[in-house]
Amino acid sequence: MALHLATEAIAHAPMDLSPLGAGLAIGLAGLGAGIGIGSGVNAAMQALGRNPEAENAVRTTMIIGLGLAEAIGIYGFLISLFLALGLGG
Amino acid sequence: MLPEFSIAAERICSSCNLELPAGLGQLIITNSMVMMIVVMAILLSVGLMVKRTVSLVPGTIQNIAEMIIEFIDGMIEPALGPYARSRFPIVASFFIFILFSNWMSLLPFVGTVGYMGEHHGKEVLIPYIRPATADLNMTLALAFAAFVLIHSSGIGSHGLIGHFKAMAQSSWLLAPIFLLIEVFVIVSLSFRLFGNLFAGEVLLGLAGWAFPLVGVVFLMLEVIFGLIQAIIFTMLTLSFASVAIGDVEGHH
Repeated sequence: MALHLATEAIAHAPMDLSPLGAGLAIGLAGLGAGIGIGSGVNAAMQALGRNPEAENAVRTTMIIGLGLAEAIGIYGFLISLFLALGLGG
Repeated sequence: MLPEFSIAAERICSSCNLELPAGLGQLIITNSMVMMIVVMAILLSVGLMVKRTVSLVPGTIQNIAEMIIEFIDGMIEPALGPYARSRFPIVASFFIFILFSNWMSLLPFVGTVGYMGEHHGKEVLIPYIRPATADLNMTLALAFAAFVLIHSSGIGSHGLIGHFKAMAQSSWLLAPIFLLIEVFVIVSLSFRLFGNLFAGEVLLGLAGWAFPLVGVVFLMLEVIFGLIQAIIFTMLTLSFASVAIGDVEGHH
């Protein structure tokens, strides 16, 4: 009977899935950004361990790389905000 | 009841639009514009005050100003090479304006004192003053200025045709994609700054609503993020400009 109700719902009116989209947007964007930032900092740590004298260059480059990776997460957050606030209808 | 956030900036009073000359229409004064003017006024007055009382033995404010200027100089010198002197004002303006605008979003009455107005059919609080960089218009303007800086450095260094060739990276098939990437840099810079600042505003609002006292921790997070975003914007602009200038004699 639940299946029957579900098919009736889908047949009669399109369900508003934007909250689901909002959740997926921030979730997957966070996943991507987390992996990117994690491997960036990992590489920076290894470089620092091999060559502690290059600290300034490594730190500068790492910050720039983190900024670029985090921006992708922000894009996902903005889209999820659009959807969750109902502006994406 | 969840606090209400609005991505677009709102007008501060319903009838104070400025009439632009030559029939360009009306300029709507928004709450983030008010904050922008406040930040500019503070920075200009501090700058003029420091300039007037410059002495060989620095006082406190001159010390702080010199620290900031040396830090920015340390970022600019390796990146811009021959253009460092002439481009210093705009890059320093980016850094100082974004930094102060980010930090002034943490002041007590910003975003919370306002009037009740209608927004998407609901009666919500519309603030009188809102962080300048948390408005996409402001960050887009900054990103356009950075775009002009990057490409003027490139054109000044290689000439117009040389600059296009350098951007196309000697592959005529993929040249449109590389040119599109250059345009995407504007989107990336503006959305990164706007997203971080707006997310910080939302975070502070939700934390203040959900955890009234412990939410102060997020204020410290926002201080750090404001500084990092200012540094990242400036450094990314400098990196792109350095790539556009290419290999110049006397700097690697």
